[in-house]
Amino acid sequence: MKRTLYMVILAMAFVACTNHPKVPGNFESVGLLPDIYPDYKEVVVPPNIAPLNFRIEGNVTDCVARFTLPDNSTITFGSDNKVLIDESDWHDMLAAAQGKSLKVEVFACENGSWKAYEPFEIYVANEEIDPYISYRLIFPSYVAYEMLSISQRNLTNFDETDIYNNMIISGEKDGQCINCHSYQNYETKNMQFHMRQGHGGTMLVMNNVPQKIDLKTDSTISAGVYPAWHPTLPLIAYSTNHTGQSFHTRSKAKIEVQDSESDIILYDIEKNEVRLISAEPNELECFPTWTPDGKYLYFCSAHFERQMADSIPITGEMIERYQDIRYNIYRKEFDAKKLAFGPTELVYDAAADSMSATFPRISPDGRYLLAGVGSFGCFHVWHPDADLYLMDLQSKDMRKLENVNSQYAESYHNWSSNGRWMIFISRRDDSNFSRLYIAYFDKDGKAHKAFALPQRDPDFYTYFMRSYNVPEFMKEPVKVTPQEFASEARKPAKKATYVSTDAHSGASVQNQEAKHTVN
Amino acid sequence: MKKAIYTLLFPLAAYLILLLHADYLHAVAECDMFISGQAFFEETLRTQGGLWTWLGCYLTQFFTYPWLGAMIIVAIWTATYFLLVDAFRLKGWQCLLAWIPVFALLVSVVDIGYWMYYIKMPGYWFSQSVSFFAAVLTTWIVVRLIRLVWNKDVAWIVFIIAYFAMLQQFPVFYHRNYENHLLQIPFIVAPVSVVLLSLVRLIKWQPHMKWATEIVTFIALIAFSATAYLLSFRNTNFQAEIRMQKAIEACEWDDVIEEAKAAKNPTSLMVLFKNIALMHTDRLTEMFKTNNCGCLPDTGDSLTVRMAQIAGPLIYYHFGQLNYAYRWAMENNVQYCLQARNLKMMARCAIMNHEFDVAAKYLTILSKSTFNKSWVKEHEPMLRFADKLRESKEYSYIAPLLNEDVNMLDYDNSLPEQWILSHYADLVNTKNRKQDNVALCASLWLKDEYAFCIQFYNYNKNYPGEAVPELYQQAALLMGTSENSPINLDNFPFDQLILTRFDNFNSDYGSMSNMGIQHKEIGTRMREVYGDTYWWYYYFGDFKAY
Repeated sequence: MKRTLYMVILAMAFVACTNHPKVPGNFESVGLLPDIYPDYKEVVVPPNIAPLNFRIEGNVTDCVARFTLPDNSTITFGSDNKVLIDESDWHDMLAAAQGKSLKVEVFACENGSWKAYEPFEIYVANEEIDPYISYRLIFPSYVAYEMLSISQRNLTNFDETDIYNNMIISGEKDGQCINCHSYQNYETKNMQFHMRQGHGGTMLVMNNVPQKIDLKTDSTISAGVYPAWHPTLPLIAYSTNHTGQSFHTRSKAKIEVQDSESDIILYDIEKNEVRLISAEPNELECFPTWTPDGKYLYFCSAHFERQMADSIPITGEMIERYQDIRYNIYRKEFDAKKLAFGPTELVYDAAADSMSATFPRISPDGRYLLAGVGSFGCFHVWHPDADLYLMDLQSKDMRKLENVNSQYAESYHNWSSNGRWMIFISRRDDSNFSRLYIAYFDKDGKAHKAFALPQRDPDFYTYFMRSYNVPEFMKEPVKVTPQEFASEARKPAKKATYVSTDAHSGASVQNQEAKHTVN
Repeated sequence: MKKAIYTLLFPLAAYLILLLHADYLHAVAECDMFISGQAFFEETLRTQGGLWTWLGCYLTQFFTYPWLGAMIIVAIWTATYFLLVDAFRLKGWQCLLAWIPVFALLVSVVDIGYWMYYIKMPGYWFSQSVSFFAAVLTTWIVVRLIRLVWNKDVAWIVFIIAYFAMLQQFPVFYHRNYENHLLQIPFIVAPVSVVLLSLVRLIKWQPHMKWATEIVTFIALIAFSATAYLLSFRNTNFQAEIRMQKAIEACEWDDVIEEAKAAKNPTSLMVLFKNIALMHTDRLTEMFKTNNCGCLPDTGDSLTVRMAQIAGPLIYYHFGQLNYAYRWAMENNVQYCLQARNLKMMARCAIMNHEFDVAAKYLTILSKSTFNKSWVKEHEPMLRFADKLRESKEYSYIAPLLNEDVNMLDYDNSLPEQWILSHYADLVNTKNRKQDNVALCASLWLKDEYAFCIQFYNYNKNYPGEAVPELYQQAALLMGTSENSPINLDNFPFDQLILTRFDNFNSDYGSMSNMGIQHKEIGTRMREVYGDTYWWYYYFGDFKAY
């Protein structure tokens, strides 16, 4: 009796632990690749990524996915219409296939009969991806915001935690928006994000100690908005913006976000001082970013001259002429000793190509510039035509990045610390909700097919009603807790002081020196 | 037998009171959302009292059929009553007091009114009753166990302690903007009454005459029922708005118009609904023949109602403004919890806008709720077959208003009615008769003389030789013949009857004015004779945008 009981327990334990289905004996080969979601066919993945769980589309009642490793050993997963891969098995598979690939054969039971699809490969790169990312989760709403969070995700598994969320201390009347999280050189001990409206201020973390700063001064347009940490010094460049929203009545783009004014400032953390970097008349400067060596500050700027100043306010004119507003990419040399910037140099004349460039991001080796490019404007996440473009900073060739773009918006891109991975948001799934996609970028400057951030349940994105934005790679998780942020947020903000500089000196645009080629 | 009657009296009354609010309960089901599956369960469980919220969301769906939802909730309350009676060993007149928490729960369901649209507590309508029942049930089990093995006299103390421990999860009505605390009273009465029950059981007194107990019980239960009814939100405009929304959803336009006609002092939303019905039945020129003056809704407390939040998506949708309908459905979902009605609207707009991928997402989510499957089944083919979309009833009403050539960047300042009227009044490149009529009527509604003249000019140009509707002739007489008018109507062939009536209107107005009668009073007196004319609306009518 006892023996039988042990056998039953052992059998149950075995079933519970392995869960490896058998490949069906009889099946019909359909000669097609399977329709799987998310689409992980022929992608290149890091050797430390979480399992690529997927579902098989169509009227599938059962399925088996057989993974063949480089040593020809196989392992199977699958149940109902989903392939859910055990985490431990998956990491063993990745380790075995590093620098090589996994062959995946999908068998699906449809209408009572089994079909075998053409196999596909999942290539496993040699280079790891940073183990953490952070992002903001927000409903793709317009002006309302509730349940807004800046969250961090362990890329090697499915663990996600809040860095901070706006429901901790915000109320109906003092609602709080949070945005623009950013880190110094991929490390989280020095980081920042903004709180707007209720308990507003910039939450600055230095050596894991949070402090709320008020960056608005009488001499600047606004508090800091889009941030850029200097890679080594205690300095942050920010744009300052007067931002407004308006809504399309028919266009599928739905929303237009515009800056009626914007400048670039530099915040000296140690001195708690703000100074202007660029505040040219008729220029809308925005999206600062440093080169990895900290010697140049790149940014975007749109030239906008009033034509209807006599009849309507600037916001009205910008609405009228929204398709005329186009951002170019510029840069300024930075003298760290004097905290001074050189003249403005044109890097990419997007307007000349009837395009608008945003969010320049320089690869960690300093060789490439990745930017979001659309036909106009600065808020490309709502522009279906927005794509990622890559400029080789040696040749100055700008090209639409192959393999990563879709018919819908791509934006909010970033490089991993080793420069081999890019993360960005894409609306390719359904045109309205932004999802995170990761793409391998090889040594030859070629991007490979992007894949969706893996989730434990392949149905996750179908039911998830929030969008991802501003993905940032991190080498480690944020150590300050949400409660510590909330506690600091309740305190009054430390006011930054303004230091007068001549932001216009040497700021004339040197078009003649700029060289740009667009492929 | 008598005992059974007394026991059933209050549940029956509660059931009837709920059925008297059947329209509201149906709307409640649309203002909530349940999604079967692990993702929704886990997400809901992360919040405080998440299990009760999840159960509340599940059960609130049953109000789709008010009789069924009401039956379930009354069953829960009745079970709660029996548990209380047994736990405290109440006898005779004491049993009556076990109905107090049930009474409080009933009031908490029917006193919400316009808060229905603003409440940020998913599953509110059931979650409190379920959690209260669970608290009572759990502690009742504990008490029964203690009675079996320990001192019977201390069982009720254990009950109270365990009960309050369970109530930590009780989802009390709460809203940060709420200033008069009437709606919170049931949530104080229900728990406190349980403490009273524990004390009452110590009173051993029972009346000698049994009939006295029966009469007191009967009167008290009637009083409970009457009080619950009186505390319920019975604003007739609120109920009519709900019925009109339901009729609009079903494209039953005559019902919408009848509701509006029946209202003595309709809200602006009701007027708008009526005019949507007239617009879709090609009778928009009759809009001033029925009451076109809308008032602000009476919420009964500090709540400020916004049209955008209670019906913005539906209004924009029926005026062919899909992006703005989608926008407000999304905003309201974000601000006031996920609601089935908003998800449906987002799906409809996406289908109509040919954004089929995102429409499929919303349909998939809706298909995971219990009572929206047939709605999904009806709309799903439209994703795959263009014919199905074109054949749909709604498409025939809305498609003529979709103006593909007109894309504007704009914002509505959260005032849909004002925005729609201004948008149409200023619309220059109208595409068909429906758009022409809406544009003309919008200018009249706003009393925008310049816009009317332009639209009237275009109308006559677009439809030469056709008889001009009476409304437009009335308006042209008033607004097109002034010195500042941008159009010349010297040779316009006005109907003689209209000209005569206009003269009479002016003469009556002049004579009353000469008699020193106040403007408002003149309006009241002239309404009977001229209330169906645009002239009356122009001089005396108004609407409140909110």
